[in-house]
Amino acid sequence: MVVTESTARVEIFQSIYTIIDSNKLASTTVLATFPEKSPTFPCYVINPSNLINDALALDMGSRESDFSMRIILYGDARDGTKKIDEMKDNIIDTLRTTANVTSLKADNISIKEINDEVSSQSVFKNMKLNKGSLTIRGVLLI
Amino acid sequence: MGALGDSIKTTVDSIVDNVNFRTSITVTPRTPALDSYGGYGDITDNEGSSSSVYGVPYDQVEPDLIPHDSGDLKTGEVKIIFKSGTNIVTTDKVTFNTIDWDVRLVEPILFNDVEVATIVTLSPRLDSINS
Repeated sequence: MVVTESTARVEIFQSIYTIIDSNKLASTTVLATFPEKSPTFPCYVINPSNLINDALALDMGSRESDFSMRIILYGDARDGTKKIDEMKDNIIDTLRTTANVTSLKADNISIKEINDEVSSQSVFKNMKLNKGSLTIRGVLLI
Repeated sequence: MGALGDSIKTTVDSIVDNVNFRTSITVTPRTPALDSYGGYGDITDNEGSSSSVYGVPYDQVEPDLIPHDSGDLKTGEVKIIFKSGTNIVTTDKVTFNTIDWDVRLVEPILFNDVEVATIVTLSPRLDSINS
């Protein structure tokens, strides 16, 4: 899917969601933010992208727009924080694999950096959930 | 030991033993073990031999749907009255009505110097009720 400027947010989300979902770890699920659906753990929750619409073009024929996207990872506490680390490694590996880089470039997307954020544990009712997140920063070349 | 406490304990025992009230409940002891990195990976339950006991469930809420940013999570809770002296601890797994429950709270009920009953509060694990 080639990302176009007029529908960039939707198509960036769909492009990155598709690649992460296709390469996810076994026994995990990939969801979008705040789904009204019962998740199974561990799961990846992909948030919508934030897009900076640059007014200036690099040249007369193209324009770059930076975007960021936060992916939150949840795991049952009984899986340990190792599962969160495995999911982070899986996302980074997925987005660096040559075939996926090529596929994203065909969609006009280049990933510039992936920031690893703090992992934590939260209490839900009487149970614990492990949580971690990554922020993906990229550029859309239109 | 007080006479009134003994009398109430006898009454509670007769209710829990009564075929018209009781429910068969399976209790499985667990000895949770961490991995060799202090629990960085999976926690292993190490289940022992299960036993069957009788109890009277009440106040059952299942499923209770709670919004969460990973999705709407189902939870639940039930309380069960057991006869006093029933061997049940917070690491045990309790199975009834085809659901596995974790033991959250064990409350011995004392009256007149006599433990007349044990009330246990249970809730299901997230992965057992949301899958």
